[in-house]
Amino acid sequence: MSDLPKDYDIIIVGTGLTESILAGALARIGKSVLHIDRNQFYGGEFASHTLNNLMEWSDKIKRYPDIENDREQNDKSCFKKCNNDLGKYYTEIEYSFSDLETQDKLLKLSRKFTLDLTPNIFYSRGQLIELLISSDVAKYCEFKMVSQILTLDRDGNVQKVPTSRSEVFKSNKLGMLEKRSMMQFVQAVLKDDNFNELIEPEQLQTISFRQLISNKKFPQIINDYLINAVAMCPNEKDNALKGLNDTKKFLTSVGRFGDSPFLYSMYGAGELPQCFCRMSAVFGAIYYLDMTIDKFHINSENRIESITTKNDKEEFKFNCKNLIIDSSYAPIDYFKSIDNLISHCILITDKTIYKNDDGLDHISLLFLPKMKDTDIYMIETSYASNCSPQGYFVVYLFCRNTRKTSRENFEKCIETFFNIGELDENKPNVLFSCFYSHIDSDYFVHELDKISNRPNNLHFVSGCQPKLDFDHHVEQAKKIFNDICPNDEFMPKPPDPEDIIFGDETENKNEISKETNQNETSE
Amino acid sequence: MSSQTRSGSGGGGTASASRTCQFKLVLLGESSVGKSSLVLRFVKGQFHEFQESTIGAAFLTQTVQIDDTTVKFEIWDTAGQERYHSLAPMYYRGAQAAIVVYDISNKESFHKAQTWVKELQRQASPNIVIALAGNKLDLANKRAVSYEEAKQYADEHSLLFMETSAKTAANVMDIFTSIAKKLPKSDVNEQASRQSQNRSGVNVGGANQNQQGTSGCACK
Amino acid sequence: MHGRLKVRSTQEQEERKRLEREKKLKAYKFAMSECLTRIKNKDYDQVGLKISEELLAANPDIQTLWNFRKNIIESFEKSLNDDDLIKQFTSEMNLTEICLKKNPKSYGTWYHRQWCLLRSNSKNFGEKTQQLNWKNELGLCSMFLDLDERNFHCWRHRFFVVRHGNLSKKDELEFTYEKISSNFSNYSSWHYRSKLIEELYYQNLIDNDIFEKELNLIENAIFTDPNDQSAWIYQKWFLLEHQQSFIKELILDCSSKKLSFKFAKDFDLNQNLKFVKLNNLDLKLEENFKWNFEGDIWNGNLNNIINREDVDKLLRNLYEFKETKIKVEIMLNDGGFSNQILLDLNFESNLYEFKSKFQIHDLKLDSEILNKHLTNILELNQFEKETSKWCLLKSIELMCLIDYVKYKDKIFYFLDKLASDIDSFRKNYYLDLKQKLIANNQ
Repeated sequence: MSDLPKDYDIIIVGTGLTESILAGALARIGKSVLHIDRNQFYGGEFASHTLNNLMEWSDKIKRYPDIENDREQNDKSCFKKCNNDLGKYYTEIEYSFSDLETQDKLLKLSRKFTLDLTPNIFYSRGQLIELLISSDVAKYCEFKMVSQILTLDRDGNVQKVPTSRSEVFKSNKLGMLEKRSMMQFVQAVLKDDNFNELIEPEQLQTISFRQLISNKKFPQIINDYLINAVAMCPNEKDNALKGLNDTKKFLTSVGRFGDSPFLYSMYGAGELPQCFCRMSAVFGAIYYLDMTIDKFHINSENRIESITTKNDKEEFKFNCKNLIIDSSYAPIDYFKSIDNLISHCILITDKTIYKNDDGLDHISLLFLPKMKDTDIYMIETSYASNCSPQGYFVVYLFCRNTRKTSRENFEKCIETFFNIGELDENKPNVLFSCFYSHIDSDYFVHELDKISNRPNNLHFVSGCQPKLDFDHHVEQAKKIFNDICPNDEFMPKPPDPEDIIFGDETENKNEISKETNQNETSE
Repeated sequence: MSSQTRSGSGGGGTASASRTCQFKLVLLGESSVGKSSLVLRFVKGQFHEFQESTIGAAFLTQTVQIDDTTVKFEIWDTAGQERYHSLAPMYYRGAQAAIVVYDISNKESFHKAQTWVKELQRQASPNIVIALAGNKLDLANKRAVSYEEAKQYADEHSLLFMETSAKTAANVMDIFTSIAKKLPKSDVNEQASRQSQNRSGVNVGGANQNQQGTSGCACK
Repeated sequence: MHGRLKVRSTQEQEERKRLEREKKLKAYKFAMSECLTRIKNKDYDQVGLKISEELLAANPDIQTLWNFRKNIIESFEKSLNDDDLIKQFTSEMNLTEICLKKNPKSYGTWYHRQWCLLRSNSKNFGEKTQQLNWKNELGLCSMFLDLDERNFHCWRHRFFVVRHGNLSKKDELEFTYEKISSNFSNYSSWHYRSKLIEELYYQNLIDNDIFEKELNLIENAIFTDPNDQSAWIYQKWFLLEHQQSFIKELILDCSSKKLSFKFAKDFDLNQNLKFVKLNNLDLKLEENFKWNFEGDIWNGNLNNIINREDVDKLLRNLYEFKETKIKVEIMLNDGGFSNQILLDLNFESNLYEFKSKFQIHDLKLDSEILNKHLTNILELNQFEKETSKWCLLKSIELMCLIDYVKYKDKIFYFLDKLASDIDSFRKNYYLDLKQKLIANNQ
């Protein structure tokens, strides 16, 4: 490996989404980038796994010894030892199969499952999709429409929410006047940015979205649609402005690629970091997986000068001008006990939660406000996104943790939708389940940024958040990019491959003139 | 461009009225077996002894004429990600064809090629057309992998096989042409719109985008 | 190690493009002149096919070349066996498809395709190969409609295919439902639906189920968006047909000066007719004028009228100048708007004729279905706080149709509202309408 260069403008540790976007943006403007990850796969906590790999991954986390690392060493300020104990990041993880027979059956199909550690769906007009388009990274990936936006009505039945004008037209759940009410509200939201037709300006921040809707005296069904499925702002703390803006984001996303406002990435969300990494590599970044940062060295000006990395076989030292690291690699002594946790649940089931009579496979989103005391997002993927074999479904649940264990957050929700205890033919059976929690890295990064003697060329990046879309990561990447390169454009569109000159420029010109038998006039 | 192929897909006086099929083709193989050189020879008709890594090209395109069908290849190069065993699976996702390249003067690269074939057969789409290319035929005097050995391996695994040289252009055109012949040639656009929408995805960068307001709430 | 990205300058790119264009143009010009020579010399062979194919693929809009190809193929028909002919027609289908992808609105290409389909199917080649098959052709239409749902060339082609291929119109009706569902603002799909209904029920009864279903479809659209015109226009077509459909036939014979009606319901025309106008000329019937009822037809002799001279002049003009259309306006005693019907000249019989496209089973204008429709629209109108122009206007039309006398006040109130407030831009139009209603119903 002697051919590996030693000096870099930027070293990026971790191939999560924000790091990968940054790698792409920095390589794009000609910075020399080394991008590494402790895992053998891309994505870090944004990876998608086969069933086998998911089990392996969780076994590995469970195995992490909680060794008390050398704190004294770290107190010497010339270098800092970085964390490689995933157990510090993932506070809890467990998985199980419904029975042995099912386990055998599913493991045989392991490769046909794509299980996202950080599942998400994207607004068609959200920042991630806009970035993919403007940077041409969209060429590397494919998406599917999230074809069903669902909601749980008062009677506990799952209902499909009509999301577009055409779905409102088709809906047989809505009466004529209900159609009109819904469309009137929609048109008013889209009319202007101040929502003048709907609310007095001084009330925007003072009343809740829920209150605003209830003031409109809509039929109950419209209330449910708007609050729980469109704006997804059910809480008293969600003010009218937030609810209306979220409604607007939803509505403007509808129709861009189809009737649904949301997209899901084909083959799982784990594709996205890989796409940005490829772009980064195309612009010269060097990729080295299965290699982790061991420690970084700080000079007298409180700047990181170099890092030491290691894998099973070797150790390297690299020099860098900037270091970007995912918070899970943060120096050991920066880790403190953090109570803010995010909980996840992955289920493999044998039926969909909402059977549509069109007979097609779907991708569905269901927002469950106030399940116990937290809001849960539920995403069901299927064969439609190549994420499971035909006849199987993958359900993701995530929320802020408010309980003792990850599982407890989801218990009520799982009982509502799935066959637990008493047998109900119509409900899906849970064949496999996996529960895990990790620290809220956004909160963690916020704490890290407050550390006073932090080297000033060190940038921390946070991981997943319990909300829809990855806008958050795009914003974070843009902010760090601006810190490092304040005068450069963030991910401009790459040139057309046809216009790229290969090899020697003059030779190329001769070729054109030879071909056309004309004298070259340029220059 | 001085390549042997008809370049460009645009109409014009020389365009033949044939249907066009587009395929994603990926190159795989160990570092410095000549993957990029093969592409550059095929697409641009160029060869550089000391080819720098190609910066900035997501993929190159080149067309091959097979009877009355124009086969358009979208050729993906590894962008160096294979160097430290860091090639992302998304790279060969959805590829309809692959050329696995080894260097005939380097035995190890032939073993590595076999690993890639295995990986493709496990991970890539089941109908993928795989070709094995023993590159650097111009270095035949330093040969470390015999033609027969490689041919036998290719036959056993149903791969197309050719020994090539990006330097002399030997068999470069041929290997792409034989892949083109083997690919199922139904029109892509047609497939996309005639089959049920369910299996095809949305390419957000492509033409799937609706004109604003045709079906959206935002209408008017 | 790090390669630098080298990109051609804009100048270089421009230059490359210019050279490429120049080269193409040269080749194009050469091929074109070659074709023209061949056309002149009536050289009908494979070479001509090949050259014109390449030219058309680059520019599908050269009608001369399509004609050239037709001539070549016709000349081949004498010499080639069936299999080779099928091959030739198939390759025409491929070529036209490629051309349509280049320009989906190329008249010449669509016509050539239709010519090939007709020609090959007259020899039953469509049974032997998919590409010449009528049913398969619908797939192509769907593909182009997915690309542009308003491409009227394609909609027209679809209708052509359904008609000539004798394909199920009921299936097509279902297809339009899907299209309308996916975007009810696209009038093309509504229009296609209306054409299908006319064909499906030509001179036949539409039963209440379908009547109700159509009204429901319309209501779904207008409640979702009352300001979208497509559904309203469709509603107008549909109900106007309904309104006219109590006149099954109307025939004007200029030579024998006879006007005859055939009605779908039983009533005494002598009791109920308020007026008849031919091209705005009021027929002033003599006091002893009688409409004769023979079989199921009411006949009137246009000699027995007071303004006979004017009428004679009108009929003479029609007859001499072979005007293709004449407008007949009829007003019955039950009020509302008059019926305006266009009669077409039938060149064979020399009669001006109108035949209703279809009839609706329940002809009573106070029928439950129609009343429910009115109630719904009035409800919508209220919900919109009487601010929707379309809603007001359509309520007026419906009320006139159903029971002018009963709704008279409301009709005038709505008209005033439109004229003064909602659509004052067209003030005069509404006031005219009002005057007309008053005059007609005196």
